[in-house]
Amino acid sequence: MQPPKPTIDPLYLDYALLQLRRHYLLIDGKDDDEMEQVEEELTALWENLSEAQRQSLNGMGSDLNWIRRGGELSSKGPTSTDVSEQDVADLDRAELTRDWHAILHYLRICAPILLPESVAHIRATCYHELGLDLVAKVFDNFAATIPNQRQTSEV
Amino acid sequence: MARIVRPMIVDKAKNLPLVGSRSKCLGVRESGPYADIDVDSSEIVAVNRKGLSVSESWRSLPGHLIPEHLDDGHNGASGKNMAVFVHGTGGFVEGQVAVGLELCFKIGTASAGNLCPVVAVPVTQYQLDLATTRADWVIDES
Repeated sequence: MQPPKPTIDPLYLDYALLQLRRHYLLIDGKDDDEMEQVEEELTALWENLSEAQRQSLNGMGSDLNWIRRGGELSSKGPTSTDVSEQDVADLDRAELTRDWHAILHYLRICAPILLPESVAHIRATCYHELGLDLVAKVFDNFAATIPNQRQTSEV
Repeated sequence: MARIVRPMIVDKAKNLPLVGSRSKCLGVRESGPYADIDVDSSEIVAVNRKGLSVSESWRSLPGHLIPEHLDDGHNGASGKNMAVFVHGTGGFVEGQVAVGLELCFKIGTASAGNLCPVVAVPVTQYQLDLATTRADWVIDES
């Protein structure tokens, strides 16, 4: 799977913000009329998204799932043994070229070999650079909750 | 007969889809802002290609409609208490799917459609026709 190159237009932004709203409803354990409304609007917007936008926004959904799992990897996702040298090289190249969508994409593949706080910080940076500050804030806030065990052990 | 896919809420006691007139159930919403069908004043369902949403594959769906246990780190799967149910075999082709029900493609696509009434019937009959298919849906998340 290649990284998507989506157009960030009002449709994309609407979907991203609704997806973020749903993320908070899930955290609050809500399954009410508002949840149904949000999901219906997401479904309606989905029909008009391009393939690249869909891939990107579902990826964002998985990133938010990761937050709700407390930084745990998904059971169907890649493990550390699945991450190849090429994947790491692709991530490095994306970082060098500041290709934010590609970084997010390869980060989803390389996450098993990275520290959760690094993953959170990088995702926050990417979403910020893409103009999605409210999404970036979720990852910034999450990073702040992760105890830095390396520093603790060094002391 | 077409092979159709629909992630739905699971009745865990029976591993079958939950029958109901809410979203993600085996059944349609008859009224309200998110109604799946048009019903006239005599409670007859219009034959206008509207109905229960189905697709060719769960992989083409938005993340909130994919069961959360299928999250692969990319697909955004986050549907609660859901499983992917499949009905029938063969291709995703328009035509009769079960008694009183046929697959109609949504406008502009041949990979998503609606399970529609074949003829105009009372809404209670249409809901019953949908519910009658319940035992023929199997969980298939391949």
